[in-house]
Parts: sequence; C-alpha cells; structure tokens
Amino acid sequence: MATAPDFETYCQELFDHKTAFGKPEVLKGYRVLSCTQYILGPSCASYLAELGAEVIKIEAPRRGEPMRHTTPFNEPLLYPLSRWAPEAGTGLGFFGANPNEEFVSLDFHRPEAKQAMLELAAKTDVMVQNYRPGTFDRWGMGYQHFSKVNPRLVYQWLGGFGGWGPGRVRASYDILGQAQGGCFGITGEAADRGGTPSKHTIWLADYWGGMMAAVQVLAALYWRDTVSGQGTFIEYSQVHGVTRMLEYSLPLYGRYGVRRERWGNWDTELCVHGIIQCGKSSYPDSKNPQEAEVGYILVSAHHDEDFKKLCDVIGKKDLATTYAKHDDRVKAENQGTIYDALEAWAKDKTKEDVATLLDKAGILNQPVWNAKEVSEQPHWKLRGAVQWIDDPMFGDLHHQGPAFKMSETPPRIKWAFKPVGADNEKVYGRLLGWSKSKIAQMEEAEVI
Amino acid sequence: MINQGLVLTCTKCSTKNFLDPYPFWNFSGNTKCATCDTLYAVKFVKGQQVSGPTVSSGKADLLPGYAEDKNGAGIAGEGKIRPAPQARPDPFSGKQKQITQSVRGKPVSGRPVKKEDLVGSRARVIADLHKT
Repeated sequence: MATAPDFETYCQELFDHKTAFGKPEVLKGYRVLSCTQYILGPSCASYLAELGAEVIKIEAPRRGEPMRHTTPFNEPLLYPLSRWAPEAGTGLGFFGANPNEEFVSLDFHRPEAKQAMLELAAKTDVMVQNYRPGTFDRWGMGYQHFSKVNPRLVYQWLGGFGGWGPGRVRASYDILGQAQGGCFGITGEAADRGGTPSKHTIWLADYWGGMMAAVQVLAALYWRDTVSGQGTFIEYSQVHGVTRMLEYSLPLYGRYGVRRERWGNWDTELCVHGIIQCGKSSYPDSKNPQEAEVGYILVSAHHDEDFKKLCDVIGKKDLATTYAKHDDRVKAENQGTIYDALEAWAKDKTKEDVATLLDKAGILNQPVWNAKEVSEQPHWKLRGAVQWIDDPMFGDLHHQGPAFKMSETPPRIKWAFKPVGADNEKVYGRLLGWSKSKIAQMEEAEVI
Repeated sequence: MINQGLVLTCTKCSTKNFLDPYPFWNFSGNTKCATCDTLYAVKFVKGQQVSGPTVSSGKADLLPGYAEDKNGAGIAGEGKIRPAPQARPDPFSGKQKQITQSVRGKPVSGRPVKKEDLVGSRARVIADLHKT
C-alpha cells in the first residue's frame, strides 16, 4: 500500500491553481443576470461567476455603470470604455468586482428594455440588482413581475436599508453603510489620540455584503433545486450587514450599557497586540517618493512570558516589572506608555529590522505590507492568490485570485472585465434570437 | 467640517458638473459648467473644498470630468468636459508614457483602438499581438 503524501504535498497537488482550467465548474449551467452598479451588487454576481455561473452584466448604453468612472487611472489605451466611446476609459475601481462576466448594454427606461428583460428573466436562474428600493418594480422588472414568467427565479435585491421602514428611501454607499451600521463607532483613533473615526479604505461593506448575498443565492438555489422547485425573493441590507459584523458591541451594550469605543491600532482586550510605527523607510535609496515613508509592524506579545521577552529586546526591563500582569498592561493609560516605549525603540529601525529582532526572540510579528510587497511574495504566487492572467481584452494582467480552493471544482479567474456592450451580439442573438439588423436597430435607437 | 463639493450644480442651468477628486484634489482656479459655460472659481486642498464655487470670469483652468443636464443626460464634446487621459504621466519624467507591455514584458492593450476593434468578446488588438 502506497504511503499517503504529507499534508503539504497533498494540498499543493490537489489545489494547484494551474490545473483549475482542466476541472469542472460547480455553477456551470446556472445563468445570472447582474443589473448592478458600484461594488455591492457586482461583487455578489462576480463571486458566482468565479464559481462558473454564466453571469450577464447589464449596463447603461454607451458609458456603462458608474463604477467605471468612479476611480482615477481610467486610461483608454489600456481599458477602453466601449465601442461607442473608444477614446474614453474604464477606471481601475472596476477591477475586482466584475471578472468572468459577459457585458451587454440596455437602457432600463425604455419599453423595449422591459420586454427584453422579461424574455431574459424567463431563461435565467438568478437575478441580482442593487438599485434604490422599488426602482425595478416601478420599471416592471421586480420579483413580482418576473416570477410570473419564471416561478423558479431567485431574485437577489441588495439595497441600503431594506425594502420597508421609515429610513429606507435613501441612496446608500459603502461609507454610509459603515457609518450608520455602527462600524465607525469602533474603528479609528482612541479619544486621547485624536478620536477620529476611520473609514476602511477598501469598500468592506460592499465586498462583504456581496459575499453574504452570494451565500443567500446559493441557499435559495439549494431550496429550489432540492426541496421546493420554487424561486425566492431575497433582500439584503448593506447597513444591517455592517451591524451583523459588530462582534460583541451590541451584547456589551445590552448587558452593561457600555458603549464600545475606538481604540486605534491597538486592542482593547490584549496588550501588546497592535501595530507600531518604525521610524525608517524600507527603501531608503528608492526614487519613488511613496517608498520614502516609514514602515509599520504588527507586534503580538500579550502573554506574560512573551511580554517579558519583548521588554528584554527593547531594553526596558522596568516595563516587564511594572506591567508584569496582563490586567495591568491592558488598562488604557498603561497601553499608551507601553506602545510609546515600543515606538521609541523602533524609531531608528525599518520594519524588517524590527521583524528580524523579534523573530530572533520568538515574538509574533508581521510587517505591514503594501501592494508591491504582497505581489512579490512567493507564497502568494505559488498559491495563486496573486496571479498573472492572459486577459482576452486587455492582455497580460496582474490580478488577485480566488481566496479559497476547491479540490474538484475550483474557482478561477478567466478575464477581468470587458468594455460596455462587448457581448451584445452574443447574448441578444443567442438568448433572444435577435438578428444582426435588429441589434443594429436597437443600437441606433440607443436602447442597447 | 468637511466640505466635499464633488458635484458642482450650476446655479443658472442646474447642470450637475462632476469635479472628480483625482484631478481636483489640490486645485485652485476656474472650472466651468459643461452646458452654459458659466465660470466658477473653486479651491480644493487635499480633496476638501475650502472656497467656492463662486461665479468668476476669465477662462477655465480645468474642466469637469463628467456632466449631466437636469434630465440626467450625459454631456460630452470638446470644450465641455475634460477628455480622458490617453496615457498616465510617468511619475518621474512627468511625460505621458504609453504602456504596451506589462511589468513582466508581455503584451497588453495600450494602443489607440477604433470602434471595430471593440466589437466582439475578444479585442482584436490582443488577438493580433498574440500572433506576432
């Protein structure tokens, strides 16, 4: 009997992302209409696309959805917007939430669009949209309308505040969701260090919301395909999704009336367990001004013995004596003293210098990496977390891969996105039977 | 108080002029309405609008990145909105640098394209590059 390979070898062979395209896709055969914009809705659909669903993204004719124009670096020569405006570009913010999709254009306001959408919905498993509450109902494209032509349709609506209630009729954005959902109440600087809330730079409420919605879609498909045969109308609230992430903040308030506070880059429950500044740049000779900035490193030494070792490394044995007990270290006023001492020690060091010294002492640490440093890590490349893809529209592209692995049906990135309406002929011809002349006529009338 | 001023709504014709934050991040000067050409003086420091918009005179220093009329229809055309940059300036020389290869030396899009180049699910320019 052959010896089983060790776990690392077993995993590496099983999950090698280079073999993904030779394996089946778990959602192949499911069709999704994605009438989405920005990140919340698009990311939901794109997670399904990474698993093999046929996702058709429907955007406004000519200029597409707003996310194409929301971020800088929209270089037409690299990422042209559409055949109607080849001199205009798509912003880099469109990356990350639209891979593997087919792109068609349609003006939802037009009567011809309603008919086209009814015909598409009749042949679709899932519809995802994230317009304001009731907008698609007003256009005759809500679940109430589409479920009549397709009772098996799973209809995922993602909105800011839900479909009913006094606070529902507003537009929501990631930052608004984080503010109203309670996130900013606990992220940001401590009161005695400025006290300002801190917005998460990535659109966390959107990407997290999209993932939650994708899970809901899969649950509804399970219900349809193995239990009931019926579709489902799903509502996801971006704001409530943020509140869902608040950990123990609500139980704490409910039990003791204590409002959880912002505590910056430290931890309210553990000390030392936070990020410190290192005074020297990791790239002192670089001509790039971005690389002249100082570094940061996570240090974790909250157990008594680790804290004592840390104090030895930084030459402050008195701190180990004064704050020998964790109950003393974790007090707010004492955390300030300890972290100030750590930063004073790290002032003449790079984050790599600090990491070397802490590694030698057996203390958990991690330099804070930027995009360049993440991209250069062999661990990321080997596992396909960062990969080069041969994009059929844009050529060689550096892109993040799926974060999870599946042995039999791996997720994969096929392409990043396409120009507005790139698949009009393919989708309208194949699914709706439109002739070449009808497509041209619809294009001329700016319906598509 | 943070005063963002991302959208400049023209007081004369109600056009929404989008002062996109990247080029307007640190800006002091005139911009103008894409519909009626009314000039406005605005000043942004690190993305915050610190003065304006006030009706001004002279010429526009920087046009809005995008504009919509009061009915929501997009406004385009030379002299109305700022054309998108064809290539990003090199951070060291300041000159526009046309990128035709990725940092690992493989072909990327990055050439001027025409309408017919963008019809279909695969860009002709990339298909052609792979042939050479």
